[in-house]
Amino acid sequence: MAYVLFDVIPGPIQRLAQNLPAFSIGRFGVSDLMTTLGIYLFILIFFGLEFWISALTAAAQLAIIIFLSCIAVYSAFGILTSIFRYGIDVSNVIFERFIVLPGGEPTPFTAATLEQPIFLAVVLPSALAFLFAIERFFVTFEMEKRLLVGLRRPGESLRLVSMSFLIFVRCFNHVAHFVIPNVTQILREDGFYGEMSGRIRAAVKHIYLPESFVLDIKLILERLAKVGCGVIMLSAEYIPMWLSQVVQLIPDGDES
Amino acid sequence: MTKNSAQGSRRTRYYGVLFKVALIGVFAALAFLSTTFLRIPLPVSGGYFNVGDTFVMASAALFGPTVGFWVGLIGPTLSDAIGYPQFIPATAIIKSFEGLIIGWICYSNSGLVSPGRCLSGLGIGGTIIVAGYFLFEAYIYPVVGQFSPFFNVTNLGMAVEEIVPNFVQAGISVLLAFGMWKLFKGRSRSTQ
Repeated sequence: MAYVLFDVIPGPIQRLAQNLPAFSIGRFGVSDLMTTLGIYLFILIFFGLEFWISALTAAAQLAIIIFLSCIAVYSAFGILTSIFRYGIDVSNVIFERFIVLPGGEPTPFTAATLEQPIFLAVVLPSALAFLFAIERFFVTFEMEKRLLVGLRRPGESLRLVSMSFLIFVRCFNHVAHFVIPNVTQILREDGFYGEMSGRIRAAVKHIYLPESFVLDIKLILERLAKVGCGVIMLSAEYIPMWLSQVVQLIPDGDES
Repeated sequence: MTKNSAQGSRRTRYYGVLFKVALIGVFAALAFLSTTFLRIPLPVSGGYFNVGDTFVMASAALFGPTVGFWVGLIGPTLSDAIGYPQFIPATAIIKSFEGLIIGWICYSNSGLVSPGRCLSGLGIGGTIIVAGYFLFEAYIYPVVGQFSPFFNVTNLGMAVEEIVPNFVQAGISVLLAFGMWKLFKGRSRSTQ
């Protein structure tokens, strides 16, 4: 995740970073630090201090586990390599050979040991906190709860906006959490993907027979269109009920 | 007008607006998730075909330009946010414009739209996808990329290479959306 994040550092941040005192530990540089701070700021402004702290805590716990696992893997690899190259060296410090070269120069392993904690302490928590934020506000039903509270506020336009958002989020969640998983499961059980693969193969075999080819393609498209219609019908199934329920939430005596 | 009838008319008005919003929510989610998760493998090329565009086109053809515009703006843009953030501006502009144009051509309040008109509208929508991505990848992104390296991901050569895959994808989406339109319209005519 960290690598994905820092491969797409925006240009303005890179240019701003060039004006700051340069530092670099492994892959981690000034522009990375600034992007991290930007993400922290974004989370703090839009999601609040409480959420940032909770997300950071959870992410830091995960980072520690990964960090320790990395150290364990590096150590195990070091010990195995040492045994393989030099035999079992009990009296000498085995790890020294992986941190300092004979000339006193640091080895690539040294850079890795410094890079890992920095990445895992700064970058990974940021990325995870960002992901948690997206998960919390766009995928779960937290937003519906907030919008339902918003319906009680006075003002017709504000209420309509809240209602619109509520219906949008409910429909989106219904499709995301119910329709698509169900359809995927049904299609898998029906052997849809295998069937489609077979039909496409048959069409390719008949490519020199125009009539058969057109018929095969027509059958494939008809089957896919029927699946698409089924998905739409399944998605729209509860819309009338939800609309009636939401519209009924308007207080009867409200004149605003 | 009595208090009860005023309340009833307001609820009816709300119902109409919210119905469109609900449709936008459903189709945007379908466009987003079908692009991301429902991939149909193509054994010939080893690639895959997704049906995300189909739902943008179908929504515009079945429910009009407003629904098409918003579905095109929200659904595919969310898909691009996962994996291809550089293409978010291009996708948002192209797909929303596509939904708008298809809706204008293929949708009528009376419901009397000939299959030929619908197919040509969808064809124009497909052309907008191919031409739009070519324009962005060949000319707009290289220029914007001079100011922000984030967008410096395409050039004229890459844009030319993308024409054929985009054309195939758009063509399949057009045919599928037309199939859906026919199924829905055929059913609604038979029940009238």
